[in-house]
Amino acid sequence: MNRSKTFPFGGIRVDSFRSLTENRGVQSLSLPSLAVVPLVQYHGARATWVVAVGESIREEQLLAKGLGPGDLDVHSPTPGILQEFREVPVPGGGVSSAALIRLDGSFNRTGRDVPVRDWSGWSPAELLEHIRSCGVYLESSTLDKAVRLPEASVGLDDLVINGLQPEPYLTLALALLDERSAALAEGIEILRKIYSPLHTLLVTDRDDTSPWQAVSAISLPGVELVSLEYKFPQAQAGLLAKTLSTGPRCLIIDVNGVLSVRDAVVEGRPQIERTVVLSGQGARHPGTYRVRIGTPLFQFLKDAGGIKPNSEKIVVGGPFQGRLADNLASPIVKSTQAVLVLAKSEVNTGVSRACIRCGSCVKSCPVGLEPLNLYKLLRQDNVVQARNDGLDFCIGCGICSFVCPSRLPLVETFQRVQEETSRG
Amino acid sequence: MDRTPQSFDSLTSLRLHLTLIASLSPVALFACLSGGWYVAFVIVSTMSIAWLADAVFRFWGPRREPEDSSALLWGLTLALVMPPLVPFWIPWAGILFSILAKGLLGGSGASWLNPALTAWAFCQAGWPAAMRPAVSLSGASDSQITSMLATRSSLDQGATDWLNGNIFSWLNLQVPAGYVDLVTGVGLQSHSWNAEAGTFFLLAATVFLLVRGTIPWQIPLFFFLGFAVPVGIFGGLPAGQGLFSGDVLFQIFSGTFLLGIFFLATDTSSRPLSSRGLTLYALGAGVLAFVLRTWGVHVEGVGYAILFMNFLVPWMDLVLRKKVLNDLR
Repeated sequence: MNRSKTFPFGGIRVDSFRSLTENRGVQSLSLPSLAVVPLVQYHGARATWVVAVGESIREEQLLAKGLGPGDLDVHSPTPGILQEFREVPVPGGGVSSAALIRLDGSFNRTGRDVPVRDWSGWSPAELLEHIRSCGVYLESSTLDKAVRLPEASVGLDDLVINGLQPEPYLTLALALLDERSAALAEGIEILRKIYSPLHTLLVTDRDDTSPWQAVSAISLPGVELVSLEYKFPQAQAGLLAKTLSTGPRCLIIDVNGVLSVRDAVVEGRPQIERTVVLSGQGARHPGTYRVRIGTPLFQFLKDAGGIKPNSEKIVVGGPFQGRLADNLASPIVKSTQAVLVLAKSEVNTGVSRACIRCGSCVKSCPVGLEPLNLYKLLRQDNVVQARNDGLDFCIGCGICSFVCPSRLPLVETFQRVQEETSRG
Repeated sequence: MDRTPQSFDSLTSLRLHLTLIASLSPVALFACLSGGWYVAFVIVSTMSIAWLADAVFRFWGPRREPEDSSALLWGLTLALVMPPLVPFWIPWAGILFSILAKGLLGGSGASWLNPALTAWAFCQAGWPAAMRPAVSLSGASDSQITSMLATRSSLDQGATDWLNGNIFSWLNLQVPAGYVDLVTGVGLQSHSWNAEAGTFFLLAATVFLLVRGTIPWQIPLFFFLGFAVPVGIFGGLPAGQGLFSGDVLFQIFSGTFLLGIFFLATDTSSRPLSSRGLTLYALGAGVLAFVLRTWGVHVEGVGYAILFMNFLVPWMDLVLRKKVLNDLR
């Protein structure tokens, strides 16, 4: 099959910072003595509590039920007593009601041998039901919204397993491909059984040789391995679909998501922990860590080795899509892929200056927009003309603001106006 | 909730302009060495006046903007395209007019004309006699270049002999006497323009700028092609020689051509945005520079060529923008 190696225009070759975290394995961190489990764990989450204050909670017990058919259930990361509900800041922005669970009682699973389930006899609908009951958060990449699994009857042209590095520093897929290649193969088999796609692709970065060996060492019949040249933001679902020229019925799930699917089906394990990358020049021990959901950031940072004194800021997520962690009491949630501790030399903030029309934003926009002109129009409140010029096509990748030598708030303005126009 | 990247590229506008100033400083230094204290005075005073005038606009103008050193860059480039003996108040008047125009149009980046060239054109139009260089460039011949040299330096003799003996003999070509002096600026009796003195340093700086991607490669390349190809074919005609007898080397290394293609034409605010636009703009400026230099009244066509292409930039940006967007939603 003819595959292009990268997308046609825009994008930037920016340092991957892979060397900070590579070849360090995945380490498990201790349980939080007080887990902070928010209701809102990803953008657009809707759920309602099904437990009450004072109740004794089992490990993996259902805490909150998703409101709609696609909304995720929330399970308890630890056994304990539900101490209170409190409003907490969530790393995705805003505040959310959260259950505070004080560690207490005995574990159902942790420290025990849980039998592996044989799923080969299950129907696609049953498999999907198992995945849904475990509240598994799925995404294509950090640049995309949560993925809702379609019905099994839909059928797929392409099933794409996204093993690309979505943003600089975010080496999660790399670590997981190394560490859990057999489980990944099983996860892919489960998804193939549900959707029987015409093609299944596993996409990795080109310069990344180790997962190739790991993945090809296990047998993955019918899975095509594709490697792409490392370039931001090629992991974005729309761009990836174009680069791979996939069919209209296409499902893109990142490696971490496939593993969660596998754990849900094979071990019946609700999503109560996740793998998080800790990186940045300010982290003492950058690496990949397995941590319970609800672990406050300060505890995560402490357990994972602490931060260096030269740190400038702590970011939840990648450098492009991540948010500033202004409150370290906010917890690790299902959508937390990484925590970055950035030194001053990595941040490069500067004062906003006049646009010098250098054209960097135009050159690197993967959509083909002219951010400088959109920005000028929006400064004049000419939203109509800006939308004519393609404002609605902006995917919010943030490249324009990243490259702008005058530090103009380009993507910030576009996203704000997009939100305003979609609201009414 | 404000979405913003959490880290940024290390390049800032201030740093970009300072890099360009630093790249030009060896050229300026060489111009001072060969032109003496007066040239140094013209360069420093023009830069200071540019900065002061710009500061006035930044602090009391309609839009308060932080310093980005662009005014210093314009002052320096303007001083470098002046003849060495120009009365000092001419570049002052030019830069004041240009900064005023830029400020009124909305400050840095808002003017679609290169500020240094606007100032230069102002000087050319206002005081043509004072701006006339000592040596004419149109239809140059070997006798002219030797007449520019007081004495041929020993460096030129040695280097020319070595080049002809070891490299150009393979190509069946000969470097005429005097070109090494022209490139290095050694021994030139009088420069037409200050920038001519440091041609070697100019070239060295541009290698650095191109490798780092500070200036887009399309502009120097296509400007050169648009200029050199017609010069090579038709350049000999005004001197009564036939086709294919133009002196490309002389035309390139003389006047403000090199400063033009690497520094003046690459100015961010007055160049097109797209890569196709850059190509078209540079080709057009190259051809225009050839036409103006060969048949024009003014001896130095490069500046006007760029300025005239600047007029077309808004049109190019409109016509060459992407018609079909990549729908990734």
